[in-house]
Amino acid sequence: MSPVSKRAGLGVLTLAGLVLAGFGLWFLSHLGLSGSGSFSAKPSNSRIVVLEPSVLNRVDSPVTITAKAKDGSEVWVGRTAPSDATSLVGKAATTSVTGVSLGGWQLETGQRGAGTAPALASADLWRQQVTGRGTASMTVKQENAPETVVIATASGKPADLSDLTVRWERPLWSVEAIAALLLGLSMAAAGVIGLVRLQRSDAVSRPAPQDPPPTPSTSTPSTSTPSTPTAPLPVQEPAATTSEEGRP
Amino acid sequence: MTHPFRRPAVLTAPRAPRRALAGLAALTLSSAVLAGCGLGDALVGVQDAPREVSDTAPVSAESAEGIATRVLTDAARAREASGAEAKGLRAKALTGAALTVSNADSRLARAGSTSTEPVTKPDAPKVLGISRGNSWPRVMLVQSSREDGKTALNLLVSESATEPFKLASSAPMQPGSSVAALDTLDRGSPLNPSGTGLAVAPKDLMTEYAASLGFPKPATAQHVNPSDPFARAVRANARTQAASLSKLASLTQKHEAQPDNTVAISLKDGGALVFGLLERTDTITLKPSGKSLTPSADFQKLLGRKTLTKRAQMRTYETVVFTVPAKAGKANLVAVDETLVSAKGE
Repeated sequence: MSPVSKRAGLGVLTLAGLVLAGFGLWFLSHLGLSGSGSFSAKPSNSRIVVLEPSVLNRVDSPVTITAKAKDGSEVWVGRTAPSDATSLVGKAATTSVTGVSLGGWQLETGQRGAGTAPALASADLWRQQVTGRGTASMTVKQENAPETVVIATASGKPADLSDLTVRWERPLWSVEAIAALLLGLSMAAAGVIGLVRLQRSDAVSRPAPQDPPPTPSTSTPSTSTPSTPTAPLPVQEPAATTSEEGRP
Repeated sequence: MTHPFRRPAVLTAPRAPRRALAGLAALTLSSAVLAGCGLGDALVGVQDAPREVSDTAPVSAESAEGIATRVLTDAARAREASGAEAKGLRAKALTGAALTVSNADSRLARAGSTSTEPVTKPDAPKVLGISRGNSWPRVMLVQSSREDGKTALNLLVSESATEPFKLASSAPMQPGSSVAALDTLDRGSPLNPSGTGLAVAPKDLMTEYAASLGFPKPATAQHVNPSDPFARAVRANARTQAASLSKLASLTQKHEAQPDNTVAISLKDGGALVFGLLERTDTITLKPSGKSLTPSADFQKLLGRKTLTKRAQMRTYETVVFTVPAKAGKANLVAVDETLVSAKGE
């Protein structure tokens, strides 16, 4: 693998780690150590509220619905099978809670139908009913899923809601958020360490500047035996002239 | 001696860390890809909502007991109330044959009758069965105890999503009779209005049984146990009454099934428990040799006169409950109740 590819890979790893750690930290800040995720909305006060199975039954954990009414007015919450809820309030003016949005931790809602709903509390199709003044809360377990929750007044008139909160309790979410945080930090650390080591290795392996080739000069010291004291090569004097030229 | 082609050690990353880095990078890439494929939802436990099942009871056993207690309590209150309040309570708690019977009984009560109590007391009602499925009408079979100590079978019906359960039919069980088990309350028991798989269709049974009670010429009920004590008693009473009238008057009894009030709920063994309503008309016609007729005390109170010179006619509702076997066999009458609802004469 070329150094450039290594750098790119380590950079991606570092970035991905930071993103993952950021997600983990963000989720952990919202979920807390208990794994409690809350989403809220402020529904219209002219429509009854219907929470669909696409919200209530997507996670295999209990979900708690809390409806707060203005000025301590009546609020009624009923839980039943989706088909029963449709039979009873399917044509009435409703605000349907169909999903959740992580951006802002809001409930996604839509408006359907028109007209009034019949008396709700007197119908014999509710698996659970709760009535309160100012606040009514209900916890939906998943053993009877799918289910629909209707929020209004007992007579079928819309409740004057100031806030609607849906909260899930799933401790595993906190564990997963912590795991994502730790894994992200590990990935980022590994990426940074890798980049640093790569940088160092590049620095060490960089070749020294090239010396000019040795000249015939006798004053040039030898680099091959730096420990050996250098000395100019002795100039040998000719001991005798044995020129053949003088021979006859 | 250093190998001339070997890289310096400082340039070579250790194999294990390098593999770990590659693994982490692969994990990151894989996570991103898999998250795009929906595995992210699975990792955080998010899944599609399950589909609604329709082969179970529409209400829980706990809810059913609460409903049964409420309905029978309201029915008892309606029976004890008077005037406009009673009318409102009856409309709230009763429907079908039970409402008709209760209205008639209230007229008898106003007239000072000692008629039997058609509405049971709500002492410890026990839900025996709930109709299966999410459609309407929905039915609930409830056992209760009457003031006279008899066990009563009560049929509670919800006609639509906006209509709560009301008492539609009630009758005390015959001595020695029993009802086979229904499916569990959670599972629910299917309604079988057409009588599929039964020895006889519910409406045919009612028609056949009504014809077998006629007087003076009863037909034979092919699908009903011939030892049925109620039919024997009705026919014996008719014969006795006709004999007592002797040559002064003639008696005819006609029984007509009311098919709209027939409900069949399946038993666990494949049979069914069938609720039905018969309307009996007793007609007494004076013969030329007869000068006048003195009817029963209840009849006198309903009619407001003590003697009749031409004819008398009484209408009585008979609530009957049969167990019908699967495939073959005879139906058994397990509960019955009768209430005089009107009378006229001249």
